[in-house]
Amino acid sequence: MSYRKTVSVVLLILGIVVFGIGLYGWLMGDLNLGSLQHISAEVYEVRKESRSFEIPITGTVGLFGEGLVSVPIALLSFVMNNAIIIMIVGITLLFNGVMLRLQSWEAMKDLFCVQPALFFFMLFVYFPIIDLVRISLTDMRMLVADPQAFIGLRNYRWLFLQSGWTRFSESLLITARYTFWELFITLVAGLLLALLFNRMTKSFNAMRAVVFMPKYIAVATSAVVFIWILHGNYGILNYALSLFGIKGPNWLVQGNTALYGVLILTGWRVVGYAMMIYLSAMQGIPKDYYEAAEIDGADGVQRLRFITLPMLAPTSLFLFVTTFIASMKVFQSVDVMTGGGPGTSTNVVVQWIYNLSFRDFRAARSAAVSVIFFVILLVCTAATMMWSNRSISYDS
Amino acid sequence: MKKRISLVLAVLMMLSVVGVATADTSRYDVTEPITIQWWHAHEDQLHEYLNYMVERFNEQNPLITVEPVYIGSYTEINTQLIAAVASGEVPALATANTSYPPSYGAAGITEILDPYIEAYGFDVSDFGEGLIAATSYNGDQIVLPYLISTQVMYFNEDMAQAEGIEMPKTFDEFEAFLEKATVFNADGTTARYGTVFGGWDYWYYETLFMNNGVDVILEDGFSTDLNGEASVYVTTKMKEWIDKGYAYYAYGTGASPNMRQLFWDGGAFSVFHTSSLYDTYVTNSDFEVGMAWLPGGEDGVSFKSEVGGATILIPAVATQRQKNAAWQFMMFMASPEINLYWADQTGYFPTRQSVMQTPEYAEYLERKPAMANVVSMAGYINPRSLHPAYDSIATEWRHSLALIFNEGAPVQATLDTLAQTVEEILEDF
Repeated sequence: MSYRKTVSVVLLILGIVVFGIGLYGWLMGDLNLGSLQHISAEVYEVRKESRSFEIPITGTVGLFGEGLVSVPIALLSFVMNNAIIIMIVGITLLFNGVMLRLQSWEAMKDLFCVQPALFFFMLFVYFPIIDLVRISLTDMRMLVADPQAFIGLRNYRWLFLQSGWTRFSESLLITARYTFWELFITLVAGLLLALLFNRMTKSFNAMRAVVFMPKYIAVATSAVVFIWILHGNYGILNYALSLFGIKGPNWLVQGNTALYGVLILTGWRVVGYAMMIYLSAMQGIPKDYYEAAEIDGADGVQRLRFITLPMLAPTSLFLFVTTFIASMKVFQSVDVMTGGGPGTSTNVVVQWIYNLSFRDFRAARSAAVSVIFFVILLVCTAATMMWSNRSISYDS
Repeated sequence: MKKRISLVLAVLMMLSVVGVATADTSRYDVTEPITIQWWHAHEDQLHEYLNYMVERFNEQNPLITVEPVYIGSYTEINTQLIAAVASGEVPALATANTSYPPSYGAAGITEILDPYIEAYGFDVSDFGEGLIAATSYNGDQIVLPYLISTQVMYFNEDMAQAEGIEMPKTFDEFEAFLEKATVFNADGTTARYGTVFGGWDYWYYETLFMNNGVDVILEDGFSTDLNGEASVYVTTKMKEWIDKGYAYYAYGTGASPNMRQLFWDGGAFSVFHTSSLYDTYVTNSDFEVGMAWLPGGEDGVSFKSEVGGATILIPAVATQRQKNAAWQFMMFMASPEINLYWADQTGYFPTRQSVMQTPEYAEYLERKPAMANVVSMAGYINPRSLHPAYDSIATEWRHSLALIFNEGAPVQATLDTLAQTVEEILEDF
């Protein structure tokens, strides 16, 4: 057997063992599997005791403590606490073992370079998604002592067939309305501004910078400022409206205007960014097209309709997809400005997920909503990409 | 004078806290240096007094260093505490609003204080039955009250005297009061509101409902009276006053500071708020501030109000070393000396009955006559609902009232929907 194959076998065996240990810890700890409960209960008991007898530890019981717990219990506690990392290390070893059999040493060198990033991706992105699904199948409540009881699809039944559905459908509708308006502002206002600012002079450069700047101000900071701007009695917006004889509404306090209040902030933040993206795309459109059209007698509107807009289609698609996903996940501005209120008028899906977890402490229900919302976003994005691949020309 | 007060109260504290210690305290003693964090929700205007108290404690207890950390509102501190408990990394101490202990007790989040109380002979009975009930769960003392307040109406005393306006004693008198206290512009818009209902927290208006016989959770524990006749009556009346321009419903982000500003600017004759902000109201007003009890029951004699303010707790998952240090600080914060100091600097009530009997307290009330009026009725302050789901239910209630008052939603239908939601929540628990 070659050296490469020997290493491969060692890695595979090691990977299986390490993954097995991690899985065992996960089943016993987070999942608290019935048949392993007597062992995990012993660890929990030791941890509980250690809390009461002056051992300044958190999490793992004293693995290297002063003989207060037996080594097996300390090791089990360590495995339970770090099960996920152990499993990921196991998967990484298995992956390398397999790849070593399939690839040359040279190719493996490249692979090793990406593995640190891959490890952290698995730890902070893919594992949370998997764990989210697991939590959604439990009765996890942050205010209940035993948060890990497996209850099957009960949270999904609550979401689709019981009281959860009213809130979910309402939240989806509010999110859709928000998304529609943000897309409208981004695509239409962004394009109009780009057409307006498509002049490369110093004064226009300065004005472009001013329009673009809000993108770099933290959402929470600008949201606090906009709370004042939009205040019914003292806000500058209503004062400006009053100069024209218009009595402005109490923007963030009335249910019928609160979402538009949030959208005013959104528009102010995103329009400059969309303008810059469109402007850079406009710079890429060959001048020959416009010259040829002019020779053929096309006027400004015709040049916009038949040259600029089609050539900007990929940019519009890019803005559409990125804005769609970002706006479906809107949270910060809503949380700071309205907290989802008044009533439920700005209770967008992510705000609802947050409230379920951190106001009502129903973590499992929150996870179920998150899983379904994740699927919805995935389907929407995939559908958009498939449609765009068929319909949009990337010639420019 | 201040030195003498401090000396007398320090002796009182020693007697009540340490002097009567009967059991073995060795298990809870702090034997080596430790730094602990205290998560609190006290805003900027209280930091000066808070820091003074913490410094005093740190000086008196060389082995313990308390680091106060401002987390945010009571809601934010609740959110962060629950998340911290879930992660196992907790502060040694946290402040909690009086509405949270029941749910914390049900979840086993707080350390049961009885063994500590017993070991140190800490006199809990000095808090009085109501406060003990409000800070216990299933008979176990789970938090200590260190600052209490109640709902009051602040009013512009100068305007009241100049215009002969009397504060209403009953809900039925409220309309006549509003008619007199409200001032309209020539175009019919409101120039000065008769009152402002605090709508950002249910605590500020629920007394109006309670005094008219509304039970948010009925005795059976599964149903509500929020869509009953009495609730519909009070809601309809409030809506009517808001629609007529007599009252304004302060709701949403920034509602509280905006309401205060309106009052200070003369845009409102009175406001519903917490007694704890008495000093803030007085300091910022260029007129005499009056303080009145909220309208009571129909007979004009019986009143109900609910205890508000802050309790202090030790998370159960803290280490024993943290807990021991935290307990020392808890005793300090709930001591007579600190009780009177806080009350004097703010508008909170002392939580200890022994303090209320001292000449120093009498002197303090003489300096703050408006406070004296309210304190004289302190016997009407009741514990808050002990149902763990009360906070969630009340949040739904608040949203429904916002729909009715701000959006013109129909009263009965909206309250019926609310009742359905509330009963679902109760069933869930």
